[in-house]
Amino acid sequence: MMMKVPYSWLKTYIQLNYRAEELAEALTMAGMEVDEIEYRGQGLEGIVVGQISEIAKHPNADQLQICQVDLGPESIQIVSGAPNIEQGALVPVATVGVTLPNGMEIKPVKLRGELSYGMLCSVDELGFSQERAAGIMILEDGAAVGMKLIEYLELDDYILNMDLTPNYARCLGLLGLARELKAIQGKGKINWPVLELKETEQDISDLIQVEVEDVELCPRYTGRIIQGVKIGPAPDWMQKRLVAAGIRPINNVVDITNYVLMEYNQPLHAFDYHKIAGQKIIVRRAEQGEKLVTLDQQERELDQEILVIADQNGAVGLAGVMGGANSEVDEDTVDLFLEAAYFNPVNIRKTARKLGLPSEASHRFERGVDIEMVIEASNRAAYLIQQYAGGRVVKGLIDLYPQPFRPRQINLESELVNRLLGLQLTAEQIAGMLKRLEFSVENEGNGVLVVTVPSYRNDVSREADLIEEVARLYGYNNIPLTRTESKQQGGKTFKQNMEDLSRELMLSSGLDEIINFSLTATEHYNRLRIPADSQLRDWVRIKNPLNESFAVLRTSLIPGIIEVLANNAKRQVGEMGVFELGNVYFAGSGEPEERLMLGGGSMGYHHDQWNTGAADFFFLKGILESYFLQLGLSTICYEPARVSYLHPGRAARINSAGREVGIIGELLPELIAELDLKKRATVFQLDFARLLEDVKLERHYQPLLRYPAVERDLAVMVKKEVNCAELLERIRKEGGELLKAVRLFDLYQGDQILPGAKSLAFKLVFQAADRTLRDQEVNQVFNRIVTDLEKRAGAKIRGN
Amino acid sequence: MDLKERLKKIELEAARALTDITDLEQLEALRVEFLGKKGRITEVLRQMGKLSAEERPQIGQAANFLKERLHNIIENKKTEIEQEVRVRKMEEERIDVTLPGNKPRLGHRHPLTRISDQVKELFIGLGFTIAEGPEIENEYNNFEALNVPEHHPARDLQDTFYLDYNYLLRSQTSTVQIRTMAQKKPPIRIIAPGRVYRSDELDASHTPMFHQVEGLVIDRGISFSDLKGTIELVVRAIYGQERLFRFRPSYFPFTEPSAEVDISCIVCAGKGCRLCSESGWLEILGAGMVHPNVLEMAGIDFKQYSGFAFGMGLDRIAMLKYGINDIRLLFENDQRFLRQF
Repeated sequence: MMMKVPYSWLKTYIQLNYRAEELAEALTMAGMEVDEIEYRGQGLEGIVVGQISEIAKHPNADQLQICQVDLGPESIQIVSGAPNIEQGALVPVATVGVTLPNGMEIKPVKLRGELSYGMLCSVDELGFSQERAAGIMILEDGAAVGMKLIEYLELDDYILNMDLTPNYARCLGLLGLARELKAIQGKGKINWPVLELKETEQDISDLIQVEVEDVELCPRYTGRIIQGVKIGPAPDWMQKRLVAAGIRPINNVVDITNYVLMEYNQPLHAFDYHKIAGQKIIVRRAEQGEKLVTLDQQERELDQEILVIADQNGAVGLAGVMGGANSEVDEDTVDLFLEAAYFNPVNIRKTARKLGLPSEASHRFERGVDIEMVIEASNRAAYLIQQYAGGRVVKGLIDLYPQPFRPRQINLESELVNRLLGLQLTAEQIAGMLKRLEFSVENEGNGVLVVTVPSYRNDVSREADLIEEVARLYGYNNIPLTRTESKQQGGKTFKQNMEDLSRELMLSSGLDEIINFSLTATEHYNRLRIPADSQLRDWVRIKNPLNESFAVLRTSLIPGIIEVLANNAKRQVGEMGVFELGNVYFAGSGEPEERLMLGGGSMGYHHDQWNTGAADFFFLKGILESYFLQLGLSTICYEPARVSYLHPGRAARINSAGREVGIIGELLPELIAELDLKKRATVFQLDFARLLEDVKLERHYQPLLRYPAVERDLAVMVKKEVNCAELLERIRKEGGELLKAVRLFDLYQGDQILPGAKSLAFKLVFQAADRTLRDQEVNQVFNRIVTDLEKRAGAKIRGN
Repeated sequence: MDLKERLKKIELEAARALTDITDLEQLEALRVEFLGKKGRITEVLRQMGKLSAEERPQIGQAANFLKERLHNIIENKKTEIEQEVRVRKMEEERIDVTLPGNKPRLGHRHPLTRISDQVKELFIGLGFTIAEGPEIENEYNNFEALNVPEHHPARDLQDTFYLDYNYLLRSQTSTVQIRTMAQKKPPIRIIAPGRVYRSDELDASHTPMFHQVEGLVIDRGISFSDLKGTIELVVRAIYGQERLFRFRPSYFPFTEPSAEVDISCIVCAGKGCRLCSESGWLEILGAGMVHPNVLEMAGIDFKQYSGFAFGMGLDRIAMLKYGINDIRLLFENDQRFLRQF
């Protein structure tokens, strides 16, 4: 919750050595970050108060009038169309050269032939209202000719927008902030507010009784009664300060409670005394199912965890969160019961969250208010009601405070302070700093300080908290820079190295690295026709998702990769190859599982190696083959596979050492059309952890062969169904030791050969370790291979 | 004409003929004409039989002498012509060196990986190892063990995604601190980069998933000044030697004292601009001394050991370093974006 601190208001409590910008800097450097400084008169600096001294009809326009406006040193002519102007009226005037908050620059103009040297402004033109005003703003008492408008409206002020961290609860009130500033500046006196009460004769105990049933949830409860209040607007100065602090004025009583909230950080609540049945307040847990209409007119169903303020008929308010409509102060209210209390922070937080009702009050109670300041805040409010709402304060105050505050004591060793901060301070220096922050400190000798923590410092519970205070006052930036040596060698694990190597190899293969959100939508899996019983539907679901697009965690990298290809295709990208190394997630039964995957995709690859129209498939497969080679994976094989979103004739399962490690395949043609990919696309995914099990990075040198190699080409025609892998296997087997290498270099399927057949051309390399091979020897092996292919694979050998 | 005269004539004619020769074929013809088996010098030598015994050696010597001279001249001419031919050929083979090269297609590393690699390299050099932890975490590691009890206002500092069975998506890599302390006794010196999650609506500065790197050092006698010295190296390595930085008190439940670190704005160098909201400073990381409550919960004796921890957003570093003004670009994977890195 953002706290708005008006500079001028804060200044009434402490003499500040800082201008607004300096103050913001000083607070920020002390740990209270100022997000923004706002100048309230922004854009209004040039507007002055003028008086209309003369009004004449415009000769050429019925809707316009010609005014002579007295600005003090001079008088200018302004043509205006406002219906509410009259002679003698004090008005805001924008003269030539001034720019209005809406960006309009004032220039001398001729309006239907009459010169106009400025503009009379309306509230919306000055930026005070969003709605178009019917006429110009007429200024009231206190305005003087020639005065600056920002002076008249007291807008020559700055607002500091502060987002205080939970350990600065004490600074949620201006007095707390002043106290903090006193320590930061090292000087200044706090101007505590006036609270002179003129109490009536009758004692409060004759008028009301209070009972706290649950002391744990309400450690302190106080009440005052103020009679004869006249509900009306709060004084102008108070309303202005509240507006500056971002609080909307309502009436004098509500405004006063808000005003004291801003001063003391103590939420107060005023009940209409006559709406409290039986003149008895009971602070108790709500009954299960008990109902209360809160001030925002919402009916709330309560439970036993919620603390309520009740009378004998039932709840009249949610303790520390929001009042009840049934006890609300309204314009007929005469007598008030003013509550000031300390409620259990955890309980207030639970209630506010349960009911979805965060309020200024709950925000402060949650963070802990100053339990010792409750009465002073109550008295301050009573005083203001006495002064500005005509109230008579009834004698006495009910204060149920069974276990008075016992300040915490902390033993602080100066040696520990120095060790943790890297400083060499004396115990006296440390004590001095803590005293500036109003801790009481006793020096026990031997470098041990006994520190007593003030009641408003609920953020300080042990020595580390005090050490931070010392560091803060010493100045974080005055602490030296040192470094310690590492006792271990830095480095990466095998897995981390393999991740880096994998990225490196993918990048050097030409794939761009992508990073997708792990959060995704189930819709992507539906589109991929993932079957109902697939593990890919075993999503980890977000209980509080932002929206459907981020509702589950991905179970595969592939939907995201496809999405990236599709999005880029929309932006006219024709060729794209990408990879991602990232986790996928499975709900499992109870214990969710994270698995690292390597995925990739390619569309529109330009080189169709085998003229099969599957350029991307063989591009990615080639990358994987090189990758596996680098990783020393020697038992990889590819088997045709059926996958719901892949082309049934162009998909393969990748196995390593007989176990599945991934898939590769071209997207289903229908899917390509649905995604408007324009070109075919292939995707793959590897189970990284499983892959790592088979990685072999050790290498052993094989002696280089000295005798010449003999090359032979072999072209065979086989039925289309025969796989290349099968032919290679046969060739290798028959080739035996002498066959050093074999590779496919051409594939043909088309008009030149029989329908249903294809032709494959292999290059075979023969070599022996101990001699130069003779042709005869090579022919023998070659013929054996040919015979085997003819017999077992139904191959026809083409002329070689 | 006596033979002497003829030799002279031959020499003169050869010299004249050589001057007109421009290619190797002509040169070869010339050689055959003068030096060949039926060439003109041979012809002279053949007639030597008619000479007197006195004249014969003289003429013979002169003829051989001429033969050798011509041979040398022709050979030189040959070398000269060959050289010219080579030069001409290379001239013809001249290429437009400004034509584009045949680039091997290389992939582009994602900017976040570039940053993450740089950070890892820096810390490995400082003797850190890289720790890892799951993204799906339990409440204890993400909150309680980090000194954020249930119902503490500090839980408001981040909006967390919750899962079934009391699991959640870690909202900070600080969870890895807890996991490391559970597995290892001090001294500890780790960084932990990874994905984190917060339920922030997507906009130019928020994504529900982003990246952090956490650092943790625990040993005897580790001080706030050690934290400052380490952060100094981080700032210098990532943002440059001339970068100014400052420590500012802040609040994190799991560190005390806690600090926020700002660097002088990388656009305006401190003068004030839009990027730094006119402050001249940019917030880049949070840090502090490990809270004694955290050490105690991890079973580490805080009287003997102390430590510091820090955490920074990798996405933020990437945005600042590369001048990226919208965090969503990091996850849109637009080819035009990816290929800039």
